[in-house]
Amino acid sequence: MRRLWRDHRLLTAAFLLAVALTTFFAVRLVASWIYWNDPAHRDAEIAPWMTPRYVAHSWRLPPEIVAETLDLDPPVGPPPTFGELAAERGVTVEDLAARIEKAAEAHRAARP
Amino acid sequence: MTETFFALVSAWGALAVFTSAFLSCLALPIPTAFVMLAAGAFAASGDLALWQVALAAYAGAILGDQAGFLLGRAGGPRLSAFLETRPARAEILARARSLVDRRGGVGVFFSTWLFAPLGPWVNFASGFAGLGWLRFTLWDAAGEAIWVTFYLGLGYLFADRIAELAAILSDASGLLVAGLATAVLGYALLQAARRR
Repeated sequence: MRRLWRDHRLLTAAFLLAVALTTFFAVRLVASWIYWNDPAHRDAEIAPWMTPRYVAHSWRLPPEIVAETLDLDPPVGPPPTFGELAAERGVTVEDLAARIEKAAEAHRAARP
Repeated sequence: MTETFFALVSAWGALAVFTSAFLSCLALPIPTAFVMLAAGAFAASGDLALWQVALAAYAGAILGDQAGFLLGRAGGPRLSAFLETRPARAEILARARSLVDRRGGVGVFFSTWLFAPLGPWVNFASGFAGLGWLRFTLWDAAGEAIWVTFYLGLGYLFADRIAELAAILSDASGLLVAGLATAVLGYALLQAARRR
C-alpha cells in the first residue's frame, strides 16, 4: 500500500476518492430507502409545486371535490399550482392544505 | 431545489421537458431525471398528456446527444493535432480511439441510461474519437428510449411520491457512477502494482 502510494500517487488518490464517494452514496441510498418505506411518510404533504389535479390523484379524491373546495374556475391554460393559488388569494399553502384535508375527511366519511 | 424543477414542469409542461432533456445532454447541470418524474406524475393526474411529454423528452434527448456528438466531431481535428504533438499523448489517444472503435456503441448505449451522468461526456468523446454517426445514433436512440420510459414510467406509477423517489434515484445514480469509477481505478491500480 505504501509502495503504491509512493509510485502512483495520483491514481491512488483518485481511487480513494472514488471509494469515499461510493460509500457516501451507498449510505445515502440506504437512508432514502428507509425513508421511502416508513409508513409515516406515505401521505404526500401538499407542497407549492403541486397542482389541484395532482393532489386529487395522490390523495385518491375525485378532481371535482378538490376543484370545488378551492373554488377553482374552469381550467384555462396551464393548471395553477398551490403556490400560485395561495399567492393569488393572499393565504398560505397550509391554509389551502387544511381545506383539502377537511374536504377529504368529509368525502371519505360519506363513502367509506 | 427538486421542487423548483417540479414547479417548472407544472408551469411549462412538455416545453420544460424538451428543454431540460436537450440541455442536460450537453452537460448543463439540470436534473432532467426529476423533470421527467414530475412529467410522468402530472400525466398520471391528467394535467399533461403522456404522449406529449414522452415525445418531448425523447426528441430533446436525441437532439441534445446529436448536438454533443457533432460538437465533439467538429472540435476533433484541432484537439487531436494538439494531443499528438507529444508521443506519449499520441499513444494514449490511439488507444482511446481503438477502444471507441471496438466498444463505442455499447458505451454510448449504457451512458444514456444506466450511467446517465456520464452521457454528455461520452457524446463529446464519441464525436471526437470518430465513432460512426449511424452507429452512434442507433445505440443512442435505443438507450434514450430506455431512459425516457424508465423515468416517465416511474413518475407515472409513483405519482404521489415523486419527491422521495427523486432522492432515491439520484442516490442510486451517484452510487452507480462512483462504483464504476472505483472499479475502473481499482483495476488500473492493480495493473500498475503488478507491472513492477
